Amino acid sequence: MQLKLRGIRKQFGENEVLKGIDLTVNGGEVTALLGENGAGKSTLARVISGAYPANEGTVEIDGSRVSFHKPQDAMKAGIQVIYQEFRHNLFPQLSVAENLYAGDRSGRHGRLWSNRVRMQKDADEVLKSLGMSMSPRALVRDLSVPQQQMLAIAKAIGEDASLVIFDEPTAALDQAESEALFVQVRRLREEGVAIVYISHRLTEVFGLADRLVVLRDGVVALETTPAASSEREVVQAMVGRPVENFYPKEHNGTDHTVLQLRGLCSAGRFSDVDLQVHAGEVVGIGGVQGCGKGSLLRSLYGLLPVTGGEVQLDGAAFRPTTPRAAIASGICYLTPDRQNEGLAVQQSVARNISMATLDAITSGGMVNAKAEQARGEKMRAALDIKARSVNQPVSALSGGNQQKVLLGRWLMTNPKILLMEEPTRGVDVGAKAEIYRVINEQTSRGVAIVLVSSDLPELVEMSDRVIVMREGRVVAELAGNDTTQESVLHHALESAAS
Amino acid sequence: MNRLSALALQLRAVWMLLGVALILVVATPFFFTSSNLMAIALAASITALLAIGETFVIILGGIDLSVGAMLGFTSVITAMVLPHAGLVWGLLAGLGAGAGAGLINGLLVTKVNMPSFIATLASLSILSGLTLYLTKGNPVGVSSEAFRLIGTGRILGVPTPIWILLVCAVVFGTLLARSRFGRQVYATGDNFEAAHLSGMPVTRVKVAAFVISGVLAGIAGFILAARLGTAQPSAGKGLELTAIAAVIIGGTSLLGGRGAVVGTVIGALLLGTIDNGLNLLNVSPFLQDVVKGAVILFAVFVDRNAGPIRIIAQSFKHVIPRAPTPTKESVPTR
Amino acid sequence: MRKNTLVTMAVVTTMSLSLAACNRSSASDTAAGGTKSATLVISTLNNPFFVSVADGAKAKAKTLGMTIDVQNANNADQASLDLASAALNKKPSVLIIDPVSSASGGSIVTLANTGGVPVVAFDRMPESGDLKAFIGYDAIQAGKNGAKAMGEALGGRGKIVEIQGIMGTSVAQERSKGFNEGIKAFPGIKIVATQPAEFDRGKALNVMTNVLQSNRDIDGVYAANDEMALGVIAALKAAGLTDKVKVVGNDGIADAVKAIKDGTLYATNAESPFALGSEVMALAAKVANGEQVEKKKVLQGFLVKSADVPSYCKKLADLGDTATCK
Repeated sequence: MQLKLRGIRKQFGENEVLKGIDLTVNGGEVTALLGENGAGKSTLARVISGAYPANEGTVEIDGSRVSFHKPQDAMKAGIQVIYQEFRHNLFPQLSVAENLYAGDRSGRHGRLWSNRVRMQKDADEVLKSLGMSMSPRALVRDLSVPQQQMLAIAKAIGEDASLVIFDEPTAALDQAESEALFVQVRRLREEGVAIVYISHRLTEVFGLADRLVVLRDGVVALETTPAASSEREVVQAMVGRPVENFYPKEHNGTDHTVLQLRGLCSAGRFSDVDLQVHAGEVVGIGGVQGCGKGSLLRSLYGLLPVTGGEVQLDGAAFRPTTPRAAIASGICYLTPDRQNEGLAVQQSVARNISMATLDAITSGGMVNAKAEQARGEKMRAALDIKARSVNQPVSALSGGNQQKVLLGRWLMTNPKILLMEEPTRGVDVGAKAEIYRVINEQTSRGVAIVLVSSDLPELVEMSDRVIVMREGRVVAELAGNDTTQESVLHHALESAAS
Repeated sequence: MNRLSALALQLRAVWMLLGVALILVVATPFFFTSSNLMAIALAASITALLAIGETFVIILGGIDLSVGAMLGFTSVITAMVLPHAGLVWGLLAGLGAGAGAGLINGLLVTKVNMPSFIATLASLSILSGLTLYLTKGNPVGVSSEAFRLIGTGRILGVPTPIWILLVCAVVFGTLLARSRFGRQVYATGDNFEAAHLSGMPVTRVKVAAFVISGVLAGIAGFILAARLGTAQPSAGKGLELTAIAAVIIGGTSLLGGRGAVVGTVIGALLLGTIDNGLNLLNVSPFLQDVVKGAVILFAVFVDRNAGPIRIIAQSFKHVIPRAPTPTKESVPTR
Repeated sequence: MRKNTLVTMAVVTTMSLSLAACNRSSASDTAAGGTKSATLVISTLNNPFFVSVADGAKAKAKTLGMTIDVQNANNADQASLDLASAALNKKPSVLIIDPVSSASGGSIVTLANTGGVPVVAFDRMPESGDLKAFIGYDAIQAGKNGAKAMGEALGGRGKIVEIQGIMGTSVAQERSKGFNEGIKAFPGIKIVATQPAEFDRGKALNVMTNVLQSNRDIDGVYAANDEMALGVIAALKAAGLTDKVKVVGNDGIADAVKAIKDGTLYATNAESPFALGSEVMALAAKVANGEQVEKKKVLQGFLVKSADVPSYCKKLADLGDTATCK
């Protein structure tokens, strides 16, 4: 199919998000949609999918005008969306098969009673044909995050889509899973499906897309192809100004060991981990999903049990018990899941920023609200958090700015060790740059950082050293010229061969 | 929403109260007299106190169904201790009983991980049964004049229970809005995991909220027993629902993370005003429940974001606070 | 999560078991012949009136050599149905009920009919089913008695307020009807406000306080039961009106007797609950023994004013009621 958008405008209240978009998406092509958060990518996706009606402008499918009043209209026209939050696509309490056929419009699996047996058989076939190994009877909530995402994709594919919109599909996937996703995307393209691919990961997009469309401030700022352009040009179009070094890593490592792990184990998650982190150093941990890198950080923060080995902080023995104790010892943890574990979204920016350091502005049990506000303002300025006011609830901010608020909370604790997991997930380019700048600034102050990231370029460029974990053990330590994306991948995936 | 909108949500209860009051002012000359207004506050003081405690629990994302039973229980304990040990010990016994019951609720919810709905339903049953057992169904009379003054006395011409309500509202309102504990309550209610990861003592916070609920039920228990001159085992029966209604009308969300004491007190006053109005206007008993339900439904339904009101409101765009815009993130957050 | 599900289930199971344990009669049933057993499913034990009824029944049962098991429906229709079903399974010689509502009462009687257990009802009439006997106070007469006392207290002139019970029950409706009919005999008396207070003392306190706001100048209040009358008195006390306003109640409970002695309550239409319980049990015993009884026995209350208190108390003492007049 061919989808043509002309002069699309969309506003929420007084806020005009799309200011006249002209865009054509063709079948058999991957059109990447790029832009900072707030540029309008997600809103545009929702206009296409029928979730939001446009205020002005026309939508044409294969030459004829259409107007969608609700998502079902778009779905009938063959448009499917895989949301970044695929909770929106799936029913966690139901099984894989039930989810696949939730929208069973043809009544193939029963009109009044659902024909479970047939459903599961069909599901089995579909999953196999897509190379997915999950059981059709498994409950969605028991699936891992990448598996859930795969299921959401399978579902969209199954519903005979002519246009599929992928919204940040690899945000929660590691390298191997991302590859599997790309296979599916290419398959769809070969079948003539039009694909709109929204992502922040430029390398990925350059490798996958046929056309690049960059949105900035609600209009199309650049339309080109990977061959005719470069990452730098794209970033410049997104940000509106030349961006010099994308990964501005400074090297501030010292010889002073602040964190030492010896033979650290957590039963069932990781074992025998030896690690040394110096002040001012960024140690990256690479590995595929489930290798134990996340568990390692969480056990240092008191969230998972340590069943063996020892931890030393600044030479003194340390037993991680609770987050509270960890913070008191100078360790803080930036969770990868800012929605569920990081931010209290109804609370204000200022409150979220001071959430871990209330004691410092409390006297006699009462919080000094002025100080809380002042801290919020200071952090907003320091991290360039785009918010109308620090008293706004965090929910009103874009993803990148939310992440900055979360980071700001930890910076307020003046940590000695910063454990960061997926610090730039779902974050736009501008905010990413800001976060990298913060990493540099912290290291220059002597803070030690442990960086877990499944964004390979980020991991490699922002770390002084990279250790690779596989199935719970440290299998490689890379430094200097050995620290390349290829070598990290190689060590991370070796088990696939054996 | 920014501070103005958050305040506006609390103020919603004020608009509704003013609306009902306006109707009553027009309908009867007896409404707007100082003695009637005090009568409203007096009658509402009991539910308001229960509702203040309930506010803490609901902001934390839980619910306390046992406050009515706690009221009956604590007032009976007080009445039983009074003649033997005097006023102070009687009051302390009641407060202790309330705190103890609240503690058990808190522990059931945090340590045993029972949903608060079930835990407090169980304690409701246990407490009212215990109270019945202790009193064999008979009310326990209170003869201590000093105690009765709590309910019937006046300070500066205003009935004592209203002062008690005022003090509690200020104390607990300030606790919620300004103290570190209050911040912890909001944060824990908004996102338990995030609060935990930020080093907040989330378990202690939750338990404390239930204890507060119990203590306030105890205070409400004194006042009722003092006003009536007896502690009745069934005294608080059904009051938990009125208390919860007051909290919701006042702008606190059942989902947690949002709300304030001010709104709750106004919600309780609104409900008391409706009762008062029904009596003043001599509305037929068969219609009373209908009218009450309809007013509450209307009051909660008329959110400034809702249909016809929004259209009217949009023409007064600059006078009435704007509804919050959807988030810029691609995904709705909660 | 599993541990918590288990604990929740344990708590729920314990609760049900303890409920069931309470249901198990204090004395188990024996076969026909031997000791006769009765089960009394009472509407509530939260009201001293009904507590006294149960006491009266128990005392009588003792003198008659019968066993009696008292179950509390806590003013809930469903609970009364459940308790009755459970009781019927044990086949008592007779089932005694005072219905929470006429409808649920009817269902219980029908259930008992199917189970072949004879039923005696009191206080509120079940609307269906085959009853062996009903004993109740004449609620209309009660209202009329109240009106008579009110007329007397006010010397035939004045403004009064009527505080009604739970208007969904026949008792409340009939007392109100009787009162309104009876008060017509005093053309100089005007009812200025009629409000319900659910037979509850606390509610009556608030309702009366509100009513006083728009009707300051009243001379008397009729409350459909003593609990509400006492709530009214508390409101009057707060307004300093106990000397001026005469209050009339219904039931004859301990606190009312005290109030009459104190002079804050003018009169109550005593329907001695203890006596009622006694009569009910006597009737039930006859039914259990298969004797013929009159299908409907209507008891009359009588007015108790301050002069009548000593004789009232003696009467109660003779019946074995030592609790009401302390």
